[in-house]
Amino acid sequence: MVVKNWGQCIVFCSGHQLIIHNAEKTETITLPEAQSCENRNGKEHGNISNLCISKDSSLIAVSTENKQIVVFNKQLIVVKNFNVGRVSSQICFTPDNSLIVADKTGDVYLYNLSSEIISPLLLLGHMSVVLDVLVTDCGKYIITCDRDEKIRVSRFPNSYNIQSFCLGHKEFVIALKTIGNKLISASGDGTIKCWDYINGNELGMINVNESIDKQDIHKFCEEMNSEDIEVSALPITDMQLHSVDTHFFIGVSLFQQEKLLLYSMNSESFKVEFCKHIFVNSSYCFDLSGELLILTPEKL
Amino acid sequence: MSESNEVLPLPQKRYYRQRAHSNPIADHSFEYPKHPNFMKWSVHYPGVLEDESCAKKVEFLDVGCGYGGLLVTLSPMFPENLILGLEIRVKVSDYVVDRIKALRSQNPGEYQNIACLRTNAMKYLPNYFKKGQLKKIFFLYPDPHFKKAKHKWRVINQCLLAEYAYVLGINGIVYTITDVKDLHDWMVKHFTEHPLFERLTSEDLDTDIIIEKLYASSEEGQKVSRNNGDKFLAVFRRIEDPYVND
Repeated sequence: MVVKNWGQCIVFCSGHQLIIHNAEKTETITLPEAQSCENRNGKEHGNISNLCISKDSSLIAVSTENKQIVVFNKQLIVVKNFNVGRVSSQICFTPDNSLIVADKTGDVYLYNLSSEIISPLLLLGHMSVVLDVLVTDCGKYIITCDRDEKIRVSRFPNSYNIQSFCLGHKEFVIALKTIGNKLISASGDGTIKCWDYINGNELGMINVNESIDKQDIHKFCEEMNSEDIEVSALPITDMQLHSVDTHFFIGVSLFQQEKLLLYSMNSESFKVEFCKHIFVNSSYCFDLSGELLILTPEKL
Repeated sequence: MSESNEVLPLPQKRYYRQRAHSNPIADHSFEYPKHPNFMKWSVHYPGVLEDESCAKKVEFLDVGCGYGGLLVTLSPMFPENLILGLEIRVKVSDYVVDRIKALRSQNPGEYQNIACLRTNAMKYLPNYFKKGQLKKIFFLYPDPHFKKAKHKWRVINQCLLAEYAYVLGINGIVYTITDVKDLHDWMVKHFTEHPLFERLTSEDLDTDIIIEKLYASSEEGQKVSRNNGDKFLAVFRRIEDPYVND
């Protein structure tokens, strides 16, 4: 599930449908048929796996579990509908509205949406699945993280040139956000880290597991260890960032925890304060951009 | 770490035999540092590094060092440089570690500048080395992974070249040699197409004392020589990024 703020609207997806909701109405859009038959895994429609909005809010792109990418404009008219070679794991827009698609094998491709024929350009590759990708607001760097513990900062568009690695997480890295020259990352090791992404130096850290019931952590680790998977923390499943003046507000969701945790981090001293829990009472996804949106299977 | 003074015999290869191929994409259980700062190099070079505060760092890297022939050859040629071999096969890396231990015990004060680690170079190079730290990287007789489906297992590919360029300093040198023509063409193609590398000319190579050793010093190389096979060499320099982004 993904939910995003889009101007006056809220956009989220359900199965193979895109739902746009504002004060007046709720609109449901079914994805168009995929272009060719060969890449569809035998399914008519694949569920939407990812949703992203361009920085200027003029485009929305969705990727599906059956390798389809659909791009809508502001009027929600389909402007591009194409297939990618492998199932995508994450998508994002560049500042100039090209689309970046990361796939399950760790390769990251650039698609120039303004050209007539859509063809992929291989930007970089990880040795495991890429879980998040972003291009910095300045447009000069592309940052990717993977199922191992790696965060890679590459130049953009000359992404063969690696600027730095931000290393220190002990499990997969699930989410990345940037603000100015700082990077915030969230990991399966239960921590949030803040980095100077230009040189890869770690600036600050939040151990989210310190804010939750020790018994929950213990129970999860026991379960995993019984399957011979060694873990020592409850993994983070999503992280959102909103910055106000001198503080970053960081929202975090954890595996099997029916609450959202909100922290503030001073953007100079990196001092962390725990703000509050918000109990959600079911699985959920959320968006934090001035307003906090929480989407659960039942309601918004 | 102190080493015992007992003189050790050289290890026998027959106790260290292992399949020649290894899957570099599978999750083997490797111990590796989460960050280069956490690497304890003094354990591997006890005769050179008293502790982790020593400024000296690894500058030559043999990726897939096999039984360690090149390490042993380079050790006396470059006494001032720390040289490291990486090997993914556990028994083979054990052999090299034991071989170096024996050489050190038989030749006090020598072979202190070489070491071998078991790791997956395709996954963990940035965990061991900082940006621009290395001066030379060797890829000698890498596994050709002939089948097309296994090309992504090759240690040289478009995406991994970015990581090799990251750990190499500007003007750092990459040496490749193979007896498989197809693999040679593949490696030359990928390095030549990569904007951060340029191929060295044969005149450049004439003055490099390492070149002749590449044909003979590695065990794979000796095997190929015995079979009177051809060997294909290609050497590349790490250059500045020609792309300027202001």
